[in-house]
Amino acid sequence: MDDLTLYTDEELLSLSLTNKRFFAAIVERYEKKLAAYIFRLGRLGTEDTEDLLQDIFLKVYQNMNNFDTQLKFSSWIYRIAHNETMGFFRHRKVRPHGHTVLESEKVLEVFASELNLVEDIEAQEASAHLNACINELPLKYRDSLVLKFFEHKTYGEISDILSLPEGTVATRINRAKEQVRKMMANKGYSYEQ
Amino acid sequence: MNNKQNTIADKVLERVEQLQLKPRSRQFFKLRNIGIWFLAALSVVVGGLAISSIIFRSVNAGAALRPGTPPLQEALLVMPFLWIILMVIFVYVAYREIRSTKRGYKYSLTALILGTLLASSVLGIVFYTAGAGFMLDRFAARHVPFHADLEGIQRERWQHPADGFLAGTVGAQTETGIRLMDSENQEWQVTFSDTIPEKRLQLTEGERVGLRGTLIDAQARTFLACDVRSLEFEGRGLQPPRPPQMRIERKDLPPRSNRCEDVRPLN
Repeated sequence: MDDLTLYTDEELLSLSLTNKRFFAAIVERYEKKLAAYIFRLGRLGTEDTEDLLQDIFLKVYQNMNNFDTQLKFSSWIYRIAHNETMGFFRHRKVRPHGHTVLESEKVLEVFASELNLVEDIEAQEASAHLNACINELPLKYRDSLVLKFFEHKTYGEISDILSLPEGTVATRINRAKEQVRKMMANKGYSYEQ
Repeated sequence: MNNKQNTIADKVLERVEQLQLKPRSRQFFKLRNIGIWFLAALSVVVGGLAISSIIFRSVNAGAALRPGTPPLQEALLVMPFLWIILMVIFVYVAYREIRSTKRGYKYSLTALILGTLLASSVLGIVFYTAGAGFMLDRFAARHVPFHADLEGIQRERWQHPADGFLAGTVGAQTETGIRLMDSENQEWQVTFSDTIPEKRLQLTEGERVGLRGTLIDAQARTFLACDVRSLEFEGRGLQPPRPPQMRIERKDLPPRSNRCEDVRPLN
């Protein structure tokens, strides 16, 4: 068996059209990333997350021929994941409550510095507050914020994933940051103007 | 690779087998894309037709209404509500369709709406010039409930000889004026003897005109015209050629009798 890690996503997708083994490699490459993304969009149980992941990959499989080569593959698969997740919540008629897993101090630091927070954000309490504030954001703001700071996507990629103009993405991220700043200020944290 | 990862991949492939799923063909997506563009183009065209009708009604509002109609009443009467609603709907549909194309989401709402509106407006001007606005207005009056076309409004407003308003189609020239065929196909003898502030009046046989004056005899259908204006609509597209203009000159007419002194001229 070839070392499938040597193939790019696009190559794997193209090969998947003739051999499902390559599609399995795509699933393996993206399942963790997408599971984390789904979890950040709305807190789901393991079983629901797995069901949703399967649906996402089935959708990817069925729509392989619709992949736009001008997009990054990751943007395309994230877009499908995003749309399926939103559809899932719509179907369940629930408002998704996010759960930003701040898995590393680095992410936290970057985000805190983006907000110009002056407090020691590495403290556990501050981290929990920041998490809570992000999760309280309206979904449309949380969406962009999660993709920018937790999935490390560029504005262009976020625009492709959410199918929005880049300007709208930038506006949403700025508004999201502004709202988090206000919420943090209400909790007693200060930030540099 | 850990077991969980394999499990999900296996489960996905298992469901692919179970459901006998196959990737949709490239043609399917091509056709869908063509369908989206077709719908978008169709919406722009329908938006253009609506705009041609809006232009037609706006340009010809003056010809349909009698002078002196209060502006608000005028606006309510000739405002093409149906077409404005249709235009908004189809510009929105076009926006939605274009947005669902592969690159459509890259453009802002404003850019897309303005672009669609601009395309529809350009088409609307072309359609209006070709006479589509006029035909649509007439078509809607026949088939859409509560929609009065400009011709209908014009007839209803101008056909009041006893009140001094008469409209119709110019017929042959007579010694003192013209023959006029009104909207009910009744022939009138119109005299211009008192009329015409200018020394010369130019009319064309077949032209629709509105007359301001006084009824002389309802039985004989004679009317003294103190003023005249063309009621021809603009934007009717290509029209059959008309005979040359007839010239009615002051010197051909009997002397003034000042019966028009109290009649307010048109404009």
